[in-house]
Amino acid sequence: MDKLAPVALLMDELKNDDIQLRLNSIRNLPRIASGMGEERTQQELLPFIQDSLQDEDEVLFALAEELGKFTDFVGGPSFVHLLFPALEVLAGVEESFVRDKAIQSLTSLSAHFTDKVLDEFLKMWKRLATSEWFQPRTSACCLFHIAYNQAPLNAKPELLSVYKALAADTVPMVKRSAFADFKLFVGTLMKDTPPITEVLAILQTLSKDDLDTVRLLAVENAVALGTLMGTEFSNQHLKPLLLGFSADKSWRVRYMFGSKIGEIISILGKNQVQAEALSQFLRLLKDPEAEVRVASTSAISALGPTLNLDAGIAKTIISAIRSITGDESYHVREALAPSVFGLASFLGKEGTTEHILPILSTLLKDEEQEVRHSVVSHLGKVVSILGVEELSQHLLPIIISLAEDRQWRVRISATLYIPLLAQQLGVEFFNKQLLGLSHQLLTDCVATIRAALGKSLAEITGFFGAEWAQQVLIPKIMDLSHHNNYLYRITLLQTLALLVPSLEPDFIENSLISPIFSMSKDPVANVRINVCKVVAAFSKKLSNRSYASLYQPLLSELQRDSDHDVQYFATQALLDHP
Amino acid sequence: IRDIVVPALGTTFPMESFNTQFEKAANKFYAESPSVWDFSQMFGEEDNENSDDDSQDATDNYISSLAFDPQGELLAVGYNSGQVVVLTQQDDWTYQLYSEFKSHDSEFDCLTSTEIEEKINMIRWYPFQSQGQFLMTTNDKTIKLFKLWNKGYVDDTPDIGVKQRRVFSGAHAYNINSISFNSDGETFISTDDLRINLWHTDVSHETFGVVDIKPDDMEELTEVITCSEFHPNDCGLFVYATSKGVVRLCDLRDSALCKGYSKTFKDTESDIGGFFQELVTTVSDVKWSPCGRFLLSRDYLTMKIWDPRMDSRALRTIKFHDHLIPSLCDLYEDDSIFDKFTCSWSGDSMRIVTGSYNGSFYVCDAFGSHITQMTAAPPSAPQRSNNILDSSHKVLHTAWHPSGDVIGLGAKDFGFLYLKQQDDSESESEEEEEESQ
Repeated sequence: MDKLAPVALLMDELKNDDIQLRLNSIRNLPRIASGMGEERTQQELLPFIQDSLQDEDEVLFALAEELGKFTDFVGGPSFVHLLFPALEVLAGVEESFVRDKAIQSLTSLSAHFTDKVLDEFLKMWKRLATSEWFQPRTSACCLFHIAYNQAPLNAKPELLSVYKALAADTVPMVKRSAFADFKLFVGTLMKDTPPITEVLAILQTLSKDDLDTVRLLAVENAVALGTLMGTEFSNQHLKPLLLGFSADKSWRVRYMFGSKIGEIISILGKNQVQAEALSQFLRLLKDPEAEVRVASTSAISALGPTLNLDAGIAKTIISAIRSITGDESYHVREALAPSVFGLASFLGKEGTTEHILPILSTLLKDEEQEVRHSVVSHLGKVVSILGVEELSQHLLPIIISLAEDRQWRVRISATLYIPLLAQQLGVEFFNKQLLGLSHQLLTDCVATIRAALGKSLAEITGFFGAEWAQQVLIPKIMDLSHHNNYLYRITLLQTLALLVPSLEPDFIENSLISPIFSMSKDPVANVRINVCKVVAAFSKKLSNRSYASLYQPLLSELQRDSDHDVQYFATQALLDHP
Repeated sequence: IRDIVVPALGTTFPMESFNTQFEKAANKFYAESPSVWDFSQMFGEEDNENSDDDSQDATDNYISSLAFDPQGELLAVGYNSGQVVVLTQQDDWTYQLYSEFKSHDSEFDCLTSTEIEEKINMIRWYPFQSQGQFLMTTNDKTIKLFKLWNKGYVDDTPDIGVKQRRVFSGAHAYNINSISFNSDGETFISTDDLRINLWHTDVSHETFGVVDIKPDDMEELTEVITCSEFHPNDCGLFVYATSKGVVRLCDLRDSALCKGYSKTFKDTESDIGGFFQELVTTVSDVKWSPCGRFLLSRDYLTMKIWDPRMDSRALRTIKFHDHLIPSLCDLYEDDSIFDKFTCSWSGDSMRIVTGSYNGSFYVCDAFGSHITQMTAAPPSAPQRSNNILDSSHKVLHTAWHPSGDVIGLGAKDFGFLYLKQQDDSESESEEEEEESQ
């Protein structure tokens, strides 16, 4: 094989005008490199790549991605540093998604750095961090936690001082990127050796930054530092910071405080302090900005553990929550259900009945569909505490009123709830309360609802199993086979077709044969067509013999039907199963 | 309470007395260094090269926007034809062609059966320096981000590449009049007659409406937004001005969507009353001072300087167009009363410039005590009589270099560059350069 071929070919392709060709050749780099062998990859391929870094962003992105997987091709972990020159350039380009990919590749390579490679990496990091352009500097910020974590002890102070400079950079994007890496950096520190004064200083400075997009990162970063250093440290140094965020001018910062309240409370520890943080949080539930209220409401479930501390606290929390059901923004009300149900396990059966159930009922009657939906989808959390009976007593009237509403869109929403309820509340409940309702909806005048219900029943059969379907469901709905209105006879057939995959062959052979047979003689052609379709579905479940003896004659008969369409579908069904 | 640093003066003023101190300093600066400006360059083309092409409008070559880049090396000029020409500053402070490209093409809006003009309404440069230069242009409906970079040299001249990096479209039902970058380097706003949208520079498929003054019933529409701008340093603040002569300050930190405004600035003291009052009160341009402490609004007859902390009245009202008042009737009849003049601050926040009729422009100190009127024309041009109002000869567009004393002016199809006379050196030799495109 001509040794020059791969690189020459690659060079040609990479100069091609068509970007697709260039992209393909980049994606082929692994093959090319393995064909060339490690030595030639190091000496020819990589230098060539380094010279070809002026290209469209998509090509550069692909390159950054491929280089991240190049360890083996370049000779193993001790040669990974040869990839750095190219990745360094890619980490500094103007387009952010290329830079992100280069950073990702460097991060994955960093898992196996040898000492020599680490040395080169740290040199590269420093070059990026002190570059005159801001793009390489932001990339350096994203890689700081890796650099610091792996660096030898004597190199750490210098790295930290470079990072401090980045955290005070004049360009806002760099500052923000530096602060975003903070919590990852803190995550790599060990409790007894961190340069805590400096780290704390960085946190405190950036927590007061003018840019609210920088400040909002402070909440998570403070929590990370608090988790590392423990409750005493947190109370002494982080508490004023954190409490200040809940009263920040910028709604984004208050939003972060609200959404992270659980973590904030856990790092602050002492009851007294928790109460302070708590009262700030409860204020945020009534914040003028809706987004803040939504975030805070969603975080309510994190308050669970605090409920057991003090009856007074529990009372305050409960009354604050109750007023949310009247919030003017439906997004807030929508966030309430899943969050408040999370408290159920902490309140116990009595507490839940007393406090949560009324909220549930109010939300179920909300005028916004999303709010009602969010209640139903999260019922599971409350079921185990309250028990099905209790719950069903409250829910059922509401579901029934929805299912009987004049507006078909409201009825269809009830239809969609039925599988959810079935899943959450179990077979017994369904049989008693919802089976009749399902039957009723199967004869709804709107076709979409009937179709939706058919699908729901198939879903429910998936939960409850074939035996239930065969013994409970199908006998119940079978009376539709001699309904006056042909539309409902068709609905039955379509529903059966949907249920077939879950049914047992025995059942199909024995119990379904006679209703199918009688419907095949139905006066309405449409019904007979649907019979053909159902039988075609049966064929997949039955053995050849039983199918041949039971259903094939039926289809053959229908092939000679007076209606052309029936003939066609019968023929199709026979063809499907020769 | 912080003291405020004024880098241009190299001093710090305490916050309470900032305005008076600054005014004193500006006055002193002005007195010591008189405002004498020399013509430096003119660019534009008189003859239409494609004169046999009937479809090309004579107004195609009209300049529609001007912008200096923040580093002070480039000047971008936008045209009615959708062309953008970028000039670069030479060592002797003259400008030469750097790059030229077609930013927007005209489109046909099928829904309304109207043509969307390719005219460049505004050009803004990205505030931070990179290896390439980034600028944003907008026409009535679409905003585009371009990158310019030096690809190498061809016969000693740099080969400048131009690449369209982003297109932000489909977000404006009405015509876009302004765009402005945020000092955070990542977001920007675009403004049409009734709405202001907030975008992220990396995301072109989504935008947030932060201001919406559309009434539920369009019959009740009385006010439209005419221009807007982000604060130069504070990433949460921006202002917008309306056709009712009102300037509003908004804070993005207050709330997430479709917010009201924090402050309203309106000053009716200089109102002339009468039939034309409503027409002359519309604000044609609003600009923050580079130091971030003052706002400049330009309406038809005056320029107003505002201190954002005081909304009861303007800090100063500069009445430099009073001589137009008797002619308002004529100006109304030839539609000149609707002309939108821009205004600009000097880099040190101490002087402002705006254009006018008869090809003239005004440079004043920031508080309007010293007003100098000049005519934009090469020295060789015949003297124009200023007694007769020539409203067809108007300097609509102005721009001031971010750090130096260079003023760019746009008057129909001609652009002018003026340099301030240096006291210590000899006056600039006048260069006339007609740059053809």
